[in-house]
Amino acid sequence: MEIGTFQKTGTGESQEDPIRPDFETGPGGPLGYEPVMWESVGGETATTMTVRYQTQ
Amino acid sequence: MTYHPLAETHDTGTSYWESLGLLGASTGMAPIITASTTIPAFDGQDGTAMTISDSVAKATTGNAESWAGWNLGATYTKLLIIAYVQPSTGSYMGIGAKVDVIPVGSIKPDAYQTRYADAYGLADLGKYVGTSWTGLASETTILQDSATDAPVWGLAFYLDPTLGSEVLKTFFKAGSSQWFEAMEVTGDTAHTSFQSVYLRHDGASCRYITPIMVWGA
Repeated sequence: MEIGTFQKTGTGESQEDPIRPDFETGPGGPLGYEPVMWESVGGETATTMTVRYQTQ
Repeated sequence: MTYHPLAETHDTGTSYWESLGLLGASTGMAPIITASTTIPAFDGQDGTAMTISDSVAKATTGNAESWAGWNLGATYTKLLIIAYVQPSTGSYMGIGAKVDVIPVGSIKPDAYQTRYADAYGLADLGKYVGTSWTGLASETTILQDSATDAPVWGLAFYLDPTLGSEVLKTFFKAGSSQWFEAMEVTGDTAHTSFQSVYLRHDGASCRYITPIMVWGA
């Protein structure tokens, strides 16, 4: 499990298009994959989310 | 020695939750809704209607974003919500807690909610702030087919988002399994008190089944 801060993506207008982390915007560059699980660990800002995620 | 691997946590007792420190005298948690065998009348619902027949609340066939819920009669900062479900042909099924009392129309805004679905291949946990939905956790390795022969699942949602605690947990109980934790969110304090809880579903003949329990403090 890794922890990273990502930009937010999604409109949040429906639960099928949630605001969520954009795993293509990590500080170390795009992950290159969508984690099968991730969980917020706080530190949310207007534009970013910090999450714990399962590495591929 | 006789070993009963499921004796402590298999059924609907409180031992599992007490073992995690989520229930028990030291937690201050007390029963609010105790629907052991009969589901109480809803204080409000929207979308595809649910009809209560003793131990089951069954949705009609329409498929729409829907909810049905109860006011708690007071304001709580910690909740444990448990419900059992059978998806029939529906997709999302979940449970949530709302900052305000149950409204007449939309469940939005301001709630925490957890769900699972097969249609989107995920379980999730998130929040409404205003009318905007933010995902706080996503898990694609545990889901249940929305099928008429799917087993009854247990859903549980623990909320203690008060500053200093800051935790939200989703649990599942698949078929005859023990309860297990599927998602845990820490550090989110968007909502810190709750006055109502609700069942979140998409209609399509899904069923919520007793026991449905809510503890709070």
